[in-house]
Amino acid sequence: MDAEVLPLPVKRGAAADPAARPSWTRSALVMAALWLGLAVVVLAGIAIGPARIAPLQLATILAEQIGLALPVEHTASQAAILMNIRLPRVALGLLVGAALGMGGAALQGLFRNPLADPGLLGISSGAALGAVAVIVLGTAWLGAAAAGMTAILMPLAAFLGGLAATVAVYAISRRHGRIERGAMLLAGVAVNASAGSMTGLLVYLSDSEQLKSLTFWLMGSLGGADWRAVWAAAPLTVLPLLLLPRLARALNAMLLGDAVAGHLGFDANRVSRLAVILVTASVGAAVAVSGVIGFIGLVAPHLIRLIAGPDHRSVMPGAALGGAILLVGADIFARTVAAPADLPIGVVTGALGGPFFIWLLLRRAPHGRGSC
Amino acid sequence: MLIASTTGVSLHLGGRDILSDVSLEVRAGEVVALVGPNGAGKSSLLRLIAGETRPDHGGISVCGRPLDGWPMAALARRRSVVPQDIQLDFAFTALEVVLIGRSPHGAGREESRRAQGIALDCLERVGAAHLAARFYPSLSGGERQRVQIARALAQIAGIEVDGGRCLLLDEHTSNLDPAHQHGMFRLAREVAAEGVGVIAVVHDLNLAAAYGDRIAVLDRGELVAFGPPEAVLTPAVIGQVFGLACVTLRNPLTGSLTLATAPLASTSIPQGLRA
Repeated sequence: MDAEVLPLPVKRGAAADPAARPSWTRSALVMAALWLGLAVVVLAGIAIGPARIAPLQLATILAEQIGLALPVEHTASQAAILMNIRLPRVALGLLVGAALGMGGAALQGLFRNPLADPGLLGISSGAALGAVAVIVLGTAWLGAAAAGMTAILMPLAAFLGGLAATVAVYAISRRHGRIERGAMLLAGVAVNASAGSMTGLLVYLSDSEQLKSLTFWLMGSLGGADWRAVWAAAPLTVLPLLLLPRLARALNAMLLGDAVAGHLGFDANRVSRLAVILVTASVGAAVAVSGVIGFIGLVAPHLIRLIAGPDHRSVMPGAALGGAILLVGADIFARTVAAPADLPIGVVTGALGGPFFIWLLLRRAPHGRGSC
Repeated sequence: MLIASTTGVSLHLGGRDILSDVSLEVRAGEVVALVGPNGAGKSSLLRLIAGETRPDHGGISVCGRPLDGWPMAALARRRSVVPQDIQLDFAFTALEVVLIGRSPHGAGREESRRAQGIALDCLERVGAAHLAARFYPSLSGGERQRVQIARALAQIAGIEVDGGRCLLLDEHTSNLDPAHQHGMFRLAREVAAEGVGVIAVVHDLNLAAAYGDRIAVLDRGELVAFGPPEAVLTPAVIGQVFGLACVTLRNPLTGSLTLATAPLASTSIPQGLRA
């Protein structure tokens, strides 16, 4: 298989002279815009829904939580909807979107390939296999005790499944200290296929009760969001979100090859291991609470690179913010387009991400920021 | 001052002796050229000195300490490497690539302003200032090579360090036109004159002779000769190591040692030129 990366074009306009314009100005602007976008999408996420809650009522309900009384009337059910349904759903969307976005950015750096993505590389399907195994086999093996332990077992199994998939892809595609791209994508395809068939077997073995919750995992949804899910996902997603950006300079150096990273004082093996564990933890936790949501990890870092360049110091936080914006936005769409029905969000991101990926592959022209 | 030394270094890979018992010393301010046929172990020796691989026997010291005694980041501030080929598919600008060379010097606004100046300066030195804003993947092979040299220069630029500084070049002019080859070797001499010890793997014997203070000749993993060009690049050594007929001349333009070579069998050397 031809392993050439497919370069994609972009015009970068006046900022093309980095000497004339320090790059931190540009990335600071991009970050500011992303935070603003995040604020907008969060507000939209808690304001929009089948039940009408006016902006002033929103403000009143939120103010009540910190003990402030505002002179606007609202019903108890509006408060309940906001606090127990919309807020945790938006919060979960932020965590999962940020985890997938930054996870994708880190993997693309690690594999030196702009097309790497937790979904394409099999991490998501490995994690889903772990979660599905707990659903289907949990009660059979652990009996009644399983019901109480599922909340703990599921993220753990998802993490282990994702880790196994990553390690397999990484080991298969690594030759002589460098990642061979063709081998990597093929390894991802193979791991996806294997995990998919095992998941299929488990689905085949499941009863109709289990099948319903399986569908949720395999198509991805934030529909199960409550505060318990948020707190379950928070540690394993927030910690990597804080730690991964610290690897940014090492990942920049590793884009020149593991040997060069070593010459520059970075322990490439250590950084690789750390990055894989952190990404797998966050993506595993994300899959455990929301199922398999594709393409966020591919699209978010790519958009940031188009705008701010490939430096991981801006790509990683940018992709986390971008991923959160995309996912919360896609979720608003998923739960309003056919309301009161709740579309699986994986369907929405796939519908948007598929064409984007095709555009990525087709829009090859030499040598712009977009080449990765 | 001794910048790099190997003592009795041996390396075996896959049952083959890549290097056996190589002892070599490089001083501050000199350019040492490693020459030898393909597979002689030149790049392997350079990689050992760079710390990429460990020798099976023998010791290596760089910048005043055994390699094992250096924290990676501290070593990276005084020793840099230009490897043979670097693949980079991410659209960094040439300037950003050179700035990656400053990673060992930490972050912070102060350093990043300094780094910017040093990086532009180093691009200037390799004659690539005009490429600063170009995307690295869009550069030609020769342009990329010069940007990588600038990156390596930036890495060890602008600090005073005990134990000296070291620059390792692995065929750093392989993609360059003749003018740029001379330019980059002249630059290596300039860098050496600033007190850096330079070790360069060189294929072109004439470039080695013209720019090397000392030449190390490797053949099948053994160091067969090590010394000034006149003492080392003799017809006897060239014949033994490369299997080439050779006469040594003076370059009429520069006065430096020049070799004319030809395959052994088909040559009859004119009487007047016989060494």
